[in-house]
Parts: sequence; structure tokens; C-alpha cells
Amino acid sequence: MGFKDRKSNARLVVALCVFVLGVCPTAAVAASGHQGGGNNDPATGGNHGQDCAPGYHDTANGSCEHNGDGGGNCGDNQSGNDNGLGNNGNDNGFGHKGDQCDPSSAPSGPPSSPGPPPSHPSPPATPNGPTTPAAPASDPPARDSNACATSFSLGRTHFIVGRRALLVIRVRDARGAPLQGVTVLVHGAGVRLTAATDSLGKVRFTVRPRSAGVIRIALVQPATCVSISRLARVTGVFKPPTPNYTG
Amino acid sequence: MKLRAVVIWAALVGAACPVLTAAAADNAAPGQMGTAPERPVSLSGPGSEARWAYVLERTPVHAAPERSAPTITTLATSTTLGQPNLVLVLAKERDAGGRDWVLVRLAVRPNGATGWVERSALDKFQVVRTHLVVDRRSLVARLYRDRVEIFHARIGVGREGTPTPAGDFYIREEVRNVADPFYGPVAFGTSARSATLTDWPGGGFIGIHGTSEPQLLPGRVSHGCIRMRNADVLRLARLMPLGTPVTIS
Repeated sequence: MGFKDRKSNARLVVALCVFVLGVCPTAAVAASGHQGGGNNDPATGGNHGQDCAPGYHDTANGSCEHNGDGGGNCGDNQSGNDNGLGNNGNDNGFGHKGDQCDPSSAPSGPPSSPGPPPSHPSPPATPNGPTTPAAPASDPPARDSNACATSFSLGRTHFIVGRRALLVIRVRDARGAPLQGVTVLVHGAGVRLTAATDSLGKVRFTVRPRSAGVIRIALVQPATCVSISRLARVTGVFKPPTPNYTG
Repeated sequence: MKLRAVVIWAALVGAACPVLTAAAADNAAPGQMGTAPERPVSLSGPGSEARWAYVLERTPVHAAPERSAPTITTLATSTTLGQPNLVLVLAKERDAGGRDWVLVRLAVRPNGATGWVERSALDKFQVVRTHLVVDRRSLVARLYRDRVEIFHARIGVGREGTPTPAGDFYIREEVRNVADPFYGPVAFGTSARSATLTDWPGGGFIGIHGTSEPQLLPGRVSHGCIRMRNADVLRLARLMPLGTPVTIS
């Protein structure tokens, strides 16, 4: 092999490196969908390497642009959403307010000018009731199927019959990082609720026990994970116990 | 030689598997197992391990493990004192529809009654290895753990007209800081009920408790409850968990 051949080989390697370096980030972002909502605008040619905050996507001029207000504007292509974890499966291209958007409605105007990234909103408090409220359809779990929750904290472990109380649960993995998309079951004393954790590993329930007893708070885990759960107590309005045993 | 070893191994696995299966299935959520009908599996027996569970939701108790079977009573989520209600779990079975049922000991009259409830109405099974045995003749209560005696105390039991009932029961609740000193510092509620004091407030449950009149012990002094000295009942409270089976003979 002569010097000329080696030179052409070197050129080929350099060209290949340039190609790989140019394509790979885009491919990786497209595959992961974690890049601040990504940019699916075909006109701009995909990701521009702009590191945008969750809820924002980069634009052709290299700046970040808000994905849309609140739950998404009807007509906006929700190339990303506000949790920073890419498209959550809303493939109809008409916002992520469930199916309330009319596909025939005209697209809304251009997104508002970039502002500070909004704080992550927690899912709305689920009302207590006999039916199981499902997690919002637009916010399915982005949880790694192999991730195990190893601990969770309860905002409270005692409830009073008939009194509404907010129960905040934070779920973490073995490293102590918040775990999103973990389904939490709350069952007992006339309460049966289920919801998934948000991007902060947090889920909120509004609990109103109907009877005294116990409430089991359990995480739905893959079979390979250790199941963890805790009990909360439900009592009536406190009064000193006076047994009425036969004596 | 190899064949013999294989046969022995297979026999060992065959013997062990039902136990393992029962243990693994105890806390399985309903509907997670297959739908093949199962024969009843014993979960608690006198003197050995016993299992109990909190009642998560108010549920009917059936005479047989099927929804169409007659209803015996209804399990509440709390006791008459407002404590979380629990039941001793005796066996489990799956019906033809794939629903899991458990046979539980009931705190109803007649004493010793049992019935079937759907597994989904109960919390996780909890295991206890203690067993309290009350001998009315010798007026002694003995607590065993893994069949080894770890506690005994002289006691008071029911008078002739209001006898302490005999049979198999369980510890259903524990009450501390009792307002009435008559019951001492700790009172346990059992699933036993007086057969004679049927109009007693709260249903005539038999308790195991301390006393404000230790000078009467041991003896046949009560309305059916089992009394012991306060020091003894405090020691018992440290050793005896909820759900412990109680045998009164």
C-alpha cells in the first residue's frame, strides 16, 4: 500500500468521523426523546444542538422556544412537553389535552416568546372516590422498565375518618433519585386510588377515609423489584379509649 | 445410581414445592395467579405459624368460597373501639372464576365461627409465631414462640355464671392508655365473645387486661375477661404481637 493510498484512507476516516460526529447527536436525541422536547420540525432539519430546558425546544436560530402554554395548545405540534422527557405518546399532533382538541381547528399562533422555564407542575390532586382515577392520558410513565423504586416517603401516616387530607408520596430509586412513572396504589378504609409519580417522583392524593381502619400504600413494581409498601392509620375523632370488654 | 439420585431429588422438590407455592402466593395480589381451581391451602394452625391480615374494605363473609354462597356476616374495617380490624387467616382457595378466597376466623357468635372473604378485601398477610394458651383450670396463661414457652402468669377468669369461653381465638386489638384504671395499663381485645353477656355494651368481647384489683388474682373473678397483674400484662404486651392465636381450654 503506497503513501497515496494511506492518504486517501486517512481522508476517508476523517470524512467518516465528521459524518458520525454530525449525525450521531441528532440520532441519539431522536432516539431518546429526552432533549428538552426535541425538535421535530422538518423545516429546521432536526436538533440544533441547543440545550434547552424542559418544556422548551431549540429553534433554527439556536434559541430556545417554549413548547406551548399549560397543557399544550390545540394545533401545536407537541414535539415535546413540559416534563422534559420528550413526547409522551401524543402522536395526533394536536396538543396533549387528551382528545379535547379538535383536529380540524386552526393551529394557534406562534408560541410566546421565550421566558424562564416554568416549574414542573405536579399532577392535579386526585379526588377521593370509589373509582380509580387514571393518570392523565398525556402523561404516561417514562419510567425505565428495569428501574426499581427502593424507598418512598409519606407526607402523613394518620388520617381522620371523613376528613379530607392531602397525601404526598415521593418515590426514589436506589441512588436516591426521584423516579417518574411509578404507579402508587392507595387502598383501604373506603379509599381506592391509583396514580403515577411525576418527573419529581412525586404523586399527590386527596384522601378522605370513610371508615376507621388502615390504608395500604403500595408501589406497583416490576416483578424483579422488591415490593415495598406502608400502612397508614385511620381513626375517628380522638377520644381516650375506654374498653368495653366484659371485664 | 444416577437414576436413584434423580428420583430422590424429584421427590424432594415435589415435597417442597407446595410449601414454597403457598408461601409465595400468600401476598400475591388477587388475579395475579392463574385461573386453575386450587385446593384449599392451610395458612394457620394451632401451635405453629399463623397468618393474619387487616381488613382493607368492608366486605361480606360467605359460607363458602363463592359469591353466590350465603352471607354469614360483614367484616368491618375497624373494631367497636375504633381500632383497625384484623382477621386470622386459616386457609385460601381459588374459585372457578379465578378469584382468590381466604377462610378467616370471625369475631362473632357463636364462638369459633369461620367464613370466606375475597382476598382483595384484606391487606398483606402477616406472620406470627406466637401462641397464647389459657388454662382455666390451673388459672395460668402461657405464651409460646416457636412452641417454646416465653411467658407465663397467674390469671383471673370468668365466674361460674359468666364463664370465659373455651375455644380457638386470636388477638384482635391492643389498647393502651386506657381511661378506666379497671383495665390496667394495657388491654388486648380478642375475637372471643361471652356466651352469657349477650347484651354487654360493644358486643361482650373477651379481653385480656391488667387490673386495679390485683389482690383478687388468681381466681374466678371476672365477667369472662382474662385478668392479670399489671406488670404481667405489660410484659405480655412486649412479647405478644397482634394476630397471635389464643387457645382457651
